[in-house]
Amino acid sequence: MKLSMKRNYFLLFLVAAMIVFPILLLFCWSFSAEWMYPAIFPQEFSGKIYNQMINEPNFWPAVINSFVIAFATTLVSMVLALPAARYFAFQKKLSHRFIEIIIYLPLILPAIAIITSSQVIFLQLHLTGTFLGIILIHTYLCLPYVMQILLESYRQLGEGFSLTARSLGAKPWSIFWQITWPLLRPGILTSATFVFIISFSQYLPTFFIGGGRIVTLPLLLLPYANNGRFGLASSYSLVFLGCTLVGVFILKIVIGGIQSGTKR
Amino acid sequence: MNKRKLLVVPFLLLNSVVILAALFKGLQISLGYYPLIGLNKISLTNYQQVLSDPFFQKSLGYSCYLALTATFLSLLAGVGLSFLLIRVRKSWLHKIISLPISLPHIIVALMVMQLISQSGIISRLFFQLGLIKEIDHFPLLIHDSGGFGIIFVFLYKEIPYVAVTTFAILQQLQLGYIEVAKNLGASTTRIFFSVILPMLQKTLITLFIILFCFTFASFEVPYLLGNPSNQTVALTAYDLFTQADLTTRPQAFALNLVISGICLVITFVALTISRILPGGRKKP
Amino acid sequence: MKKWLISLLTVGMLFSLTACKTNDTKETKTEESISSFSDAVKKSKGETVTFYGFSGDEKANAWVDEVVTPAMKEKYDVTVKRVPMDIDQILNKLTTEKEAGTKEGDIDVIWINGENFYTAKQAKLLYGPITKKIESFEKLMDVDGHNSKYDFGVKIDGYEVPYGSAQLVFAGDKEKFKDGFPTGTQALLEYAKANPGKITYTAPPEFTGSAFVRNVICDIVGYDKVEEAKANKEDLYKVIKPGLDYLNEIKPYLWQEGKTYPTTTAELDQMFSAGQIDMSYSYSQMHVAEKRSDKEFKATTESFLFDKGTIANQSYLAIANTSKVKAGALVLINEMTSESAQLKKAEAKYGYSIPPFDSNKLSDETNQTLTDLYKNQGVLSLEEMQEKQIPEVQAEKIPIIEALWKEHVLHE
Repeated sequence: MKLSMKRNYFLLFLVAAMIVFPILLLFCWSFSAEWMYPAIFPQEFSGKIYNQMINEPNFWPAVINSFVIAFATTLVSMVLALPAARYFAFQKKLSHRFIEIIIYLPLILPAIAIITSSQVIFLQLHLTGTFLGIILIHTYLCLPYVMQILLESYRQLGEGFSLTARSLGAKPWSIFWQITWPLLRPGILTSATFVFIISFSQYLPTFFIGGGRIVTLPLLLLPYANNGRFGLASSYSLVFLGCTLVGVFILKIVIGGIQSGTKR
Repeated sequence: MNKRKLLVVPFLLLNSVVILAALFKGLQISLGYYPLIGLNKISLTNYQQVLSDPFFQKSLGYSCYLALTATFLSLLAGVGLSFLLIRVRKSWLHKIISLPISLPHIIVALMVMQLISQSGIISRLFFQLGLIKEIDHFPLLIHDSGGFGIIFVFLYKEIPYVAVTTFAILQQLQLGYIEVAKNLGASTTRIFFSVILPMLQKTLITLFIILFCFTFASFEVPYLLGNPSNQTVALTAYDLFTQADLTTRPQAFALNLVISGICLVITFVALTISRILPGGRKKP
Repeated sequence: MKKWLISLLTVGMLFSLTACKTNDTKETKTEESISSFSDAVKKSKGETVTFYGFSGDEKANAWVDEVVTPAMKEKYDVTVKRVPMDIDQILNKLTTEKEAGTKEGDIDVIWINGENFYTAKQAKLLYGPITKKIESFEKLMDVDGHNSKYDFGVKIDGYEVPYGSAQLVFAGDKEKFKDGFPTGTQALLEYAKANPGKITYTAPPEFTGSAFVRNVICDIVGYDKVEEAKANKEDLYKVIKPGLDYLNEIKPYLWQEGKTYPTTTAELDQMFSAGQIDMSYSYSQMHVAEKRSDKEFKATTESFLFDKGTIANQSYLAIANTSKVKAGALVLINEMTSESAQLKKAEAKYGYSIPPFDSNKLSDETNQTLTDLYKNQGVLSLEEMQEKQIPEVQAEKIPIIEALWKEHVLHE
């Protein structure tokens, strides 16, 4: 038993190392001032790139915008998805396949096609260039992920608990807070994390719908990446990673911290 | 019952507005009605043009190959990884494994380029270790016809995603069933195929659909790391869309709708297969 | 259940039908017509102007942020906002806005040229003519020169102002090319035969790779023939066939025997700097100087051209028709093309950019400063570059040439 535990640990560690290795490359590139073939380490280090990045006037606004949009999208997605998932999990009339197709449609249809076409309608609804517009399109793209997880979570939860509580006279809102929420919490946390990450890393939607008025981190990052500025692209990517870690951490505290109904 | 249905309205509203608007616009323009540049006739010429392009079949085959390979490999490795995650509960390892999910595809493409290109870090290591004498002796792993670099990027991003999602589901499963099966004397393989797989099957099919459609419709990664003579359909669509000459837009929309159609078909097929496989039907 | 679904779908459809409605595009009259530059200065006080353009070059970005923006605030009390956006997205935004009937948009000043200018002008997305209202145009630029009248063969009619120039320039290591650089397609072919696998180019439709292909064609067939040819596949193919044949001839001696190509110039540069290939190129004339000072190219790297000339073009600044602050936009363009700002842009810190000025209209001092800046950086003199120039092929022919390359060279 012990040997296989050790083996599993080692394997997982190996996988983690393989994942971290390319990220270390990013570190090296962001700090290198000269790194020609075939040197394994940069021949010269400097913090110049980080300087450039921070002095970019759009940098801090972009970071803040990214956070705001990602958190807002998470909130809106959860608000839309929780009731919808509950409905789909327990209703009896529509077939499961049909529901799944409705849910996954945003992922099945090519994003670029949808985004470019929605641009026109968002324009007419005066939603382009607004935070609301961006949040809406992000929500559209993130909902499938949330629905997938929450749908399964609700199914596993079953209706038993809420029905019992109902028959005992509890109001729907308190059922949700005191029974459903604590039991669903792992699923909610995972889906919230997904939404945050996906929204944070969106480029095309923010670009098209934001129309340049609202700048987020990926918008700054991608031109440098496409133009071969490996150093700058690496530093931005690392900031990116850092921010998502921070965001997920905050989500964990907020969602995990709402303890209604559970005794620890 | 009515009050319940209200819950679903906002969700359905958002989705249907976006999708229907996009479909209408796409159909409108691809069928030839584009007043901005003066096209007024409805016809199927755009579709004909796009589908009869000599390279279309080749790109279609290549896109399918890339999407299928990447998706299958990700599913296999991802499920395997999720079992490792269940067995080894060190949370810091879990966090590291889920890092790739946060990275945008372009960044991963860049990292992979710096990793496995002939002037990348592995090539430099080989050179220093004397395994290769010249830079050209390092195998061509990007811009190759097999799409190695492209698949590598998708694997890097998708295996952790599959692993984390499957792990979440595994956690919630009634693992008691496994104990029961063990007590009844079933072998590990038997347990896996008769107990675990049916429970996972729906999730796996869903993952397959999501990953396949995403990979099939992606164009930035194949552009950066692919062989220019093997274009994917999505890349062709993007090219047509961004041409300064607006007359190619209708074709771009036509191609986009074709791609959407293919994804929908694959979805149906996959869902039907899921129904047939054990675990596909809801218990009565 | 069914009733609900139907009503929801109807609501959804109603919303989306608004997307189908395309408004009549009326001619947008300028609310307040601006009569001259000084008029523009007066009207623009306190305004905020946006500048939309490619943002992948951190030095160019720094120039806008550190030189132009403070100068605009100081001199004219105008705030500048730089917005990163690729030209195809800019055009897409303007086009979609026009489709939806929007009269006022966010975009003010655009960095634009070539096929994109052609599209924008055709679709009436630009405000103009503007050249008469910009001081630096008359004062510092060659008003009658080819580049002030035509952009990629399209008549400008004063809708855009020259902003910077670009020329296809090759880079090579002096040490490797002991017998001299290959300054023509024949010499290049011989070098490739003698050193197989050491030459390659980025595949069209990559912007610079496409220019390389066109350059090779013009070197073999002559620019005039290409310019005269009709803009359709059959005619153009007959004219450029010798060029395509050449590319097929050199193919087996290219990197990976021409079976695959790098897809970005960044990659090409990296392969060059690692010694994998012996030649790189760029549209930026000072590319070698920049890369040498960034320590990405070896110190022995130098630029060279084809004797028969390399493709040169200008990039321009234009104003969107939907701009809300046209006065401010005019002032911004004037400042960006002013002598003080452009001289700064020519420094290494801001990218060694070549100003779009007519050297005859500049003072001797300025001319000397410019020459000194570029000396000994591995780049060619301005005179040499101006001598060996060929114009861009007309915008409409470019996608056709790219398609022909794909068909006859890539898939041969």
